[in-house]
Amino acid sequence: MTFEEFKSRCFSNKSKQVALRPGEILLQQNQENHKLFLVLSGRLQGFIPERLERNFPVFEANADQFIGVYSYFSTESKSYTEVRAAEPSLVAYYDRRIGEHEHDELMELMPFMMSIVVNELSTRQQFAGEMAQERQEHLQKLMQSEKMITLGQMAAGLAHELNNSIGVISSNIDQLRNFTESNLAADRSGVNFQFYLKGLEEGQFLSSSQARENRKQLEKKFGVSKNLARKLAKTGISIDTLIKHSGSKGTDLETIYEHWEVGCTLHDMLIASRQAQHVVHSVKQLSVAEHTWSSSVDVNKTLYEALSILRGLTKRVEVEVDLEALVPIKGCPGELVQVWVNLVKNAVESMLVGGKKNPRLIVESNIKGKFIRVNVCDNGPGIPSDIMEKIFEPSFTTKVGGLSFGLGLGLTIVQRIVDGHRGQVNVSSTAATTCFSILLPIS
Amino acid sequence: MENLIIVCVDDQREVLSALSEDLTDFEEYLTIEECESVAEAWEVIEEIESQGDYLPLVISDHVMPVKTGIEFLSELENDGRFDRTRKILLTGLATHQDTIQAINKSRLDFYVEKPWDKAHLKHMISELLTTFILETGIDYQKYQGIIDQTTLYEHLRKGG
Repeated sequence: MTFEEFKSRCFSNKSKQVALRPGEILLQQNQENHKLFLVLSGRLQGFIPERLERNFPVFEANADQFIGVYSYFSTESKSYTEVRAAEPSLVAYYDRRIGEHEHDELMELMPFMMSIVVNELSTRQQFAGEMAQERQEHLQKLMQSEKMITLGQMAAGLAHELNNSIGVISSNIDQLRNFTESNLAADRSGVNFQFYLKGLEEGQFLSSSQARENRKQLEKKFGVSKNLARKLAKTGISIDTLIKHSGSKGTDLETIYEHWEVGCTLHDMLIASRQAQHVVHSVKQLSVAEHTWSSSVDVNKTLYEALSILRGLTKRVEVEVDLEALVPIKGCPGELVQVWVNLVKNAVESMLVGGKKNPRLIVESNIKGKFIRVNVCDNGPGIPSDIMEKIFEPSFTTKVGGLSFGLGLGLTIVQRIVDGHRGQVNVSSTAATTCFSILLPIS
Repeated sequence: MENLIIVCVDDQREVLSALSEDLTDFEEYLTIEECESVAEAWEVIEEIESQGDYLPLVISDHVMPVKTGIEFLSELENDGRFDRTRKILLTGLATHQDTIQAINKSRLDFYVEKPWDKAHLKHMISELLTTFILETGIDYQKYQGIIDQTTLYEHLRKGG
């Protein structure tokens, strides 16, 4: 028996048809049902009514599909869902209580009816599976946005707390410096002040191996303790200068070192506190609250911010920064900083994890036609062509272990932000170089 | 020449400075060498070897460009000449994986988190120096100022 035969045998009685408008109910939940329905046209869906919010349909029936399969073939004879028309529909039915067919004929129909049941079961299974999958994806997206919001809030809180402390440190360093200098002031023309100044202005500029060389010479020239020799060697004060002053009135090698040391300590503190302030400022930009758009954004400034935040990471590689003069564009500086931070971080990490000798990061900006173009390139192992498509997907990450704290969202965020700026993200990767090229339109 | 030399490795100058400042008290008896990279540390170590001096202890940071501290300490471990050299890993940032590798591959003596506690670190170093001196058979009387008495006593008690 074919489907067409079955259809004409059991479902061609014009008086046994129901027309439904959208929203009209064919079957109530738990309603007694002895009819097998065939959808002639339109679309109906089955719902479980008590789950009113986000009520996904449990099944769907289009033309040439059946409804009421469960209630018709089970002993319960009750519809387990509420069946509603989603579109204007026409259904035909076959009521088993009305004995229209001979027993033999019914037996003939039976195998066909079995196949209807099996088919219906598998269709519903698939449908349920698809719904579950969709639900899962929505849940994932929700979780990810929540994570980002939490991180953003944490960043804002952290930045705020740090800002106060760093402010205190910064102003106190200045006070300390003034106090120190006014106390040495009497001696400003004296011998020791110049060594304080040297420490303050230059800091510890000698490398450890240069200092080692110096120290060997010092140990030979002066019979000082190992301790003092090591310390004096670091100052970078020439041996001749030391010889010249070591015998002078009002000073000796110890005193010379101490003055240099005070200057050097202040020098290091000033630099560190300035860097800390800068990082805090940049992190504040990343927080959720700071997503304000501006009509005149200096893209180069955002690049510098990003590099500043990642200073600790980028010092492990060679960095070449080549930023040309740009024009201001419309954009969100906080978000752009995020884009650069993500790209630079990815670049550096790929080189370090790949164990690249002579790792090199290049950051460039220039104007290309009606766009500002920013390139972030590295000479790391690159992106294999088979995963190239996936790298922008959320939760896709190749980072396992190591010094990485990511969520696999970096490039997803980059794409989202660049899209928001009506820009483009291009990536090219060979064995030698990998480059992410971002184009931002000039308004 | 029998000099004892401690080699310190960290790519940040300020940290190296701070570390040697904290070890000032040991300087009367031994030399402290500061190195800003693993490559430099190896140069210094080879010099120590060729001059016939001793390398009782290496203190190294982990996160450094080119070669990490853990790689360095593993290299030391695999170099038969430095069997007795003690190793301290001083680090502000190491993952769980790194820690496991450090302990297994390089036979660390101590793992210290930054920022370190000066007194704690000095005591650790004192113990390590003492066992080195006793194992190597150097005359420990010369180093009374830095010997850890408890360790010494234990050693003597065991008939060392």
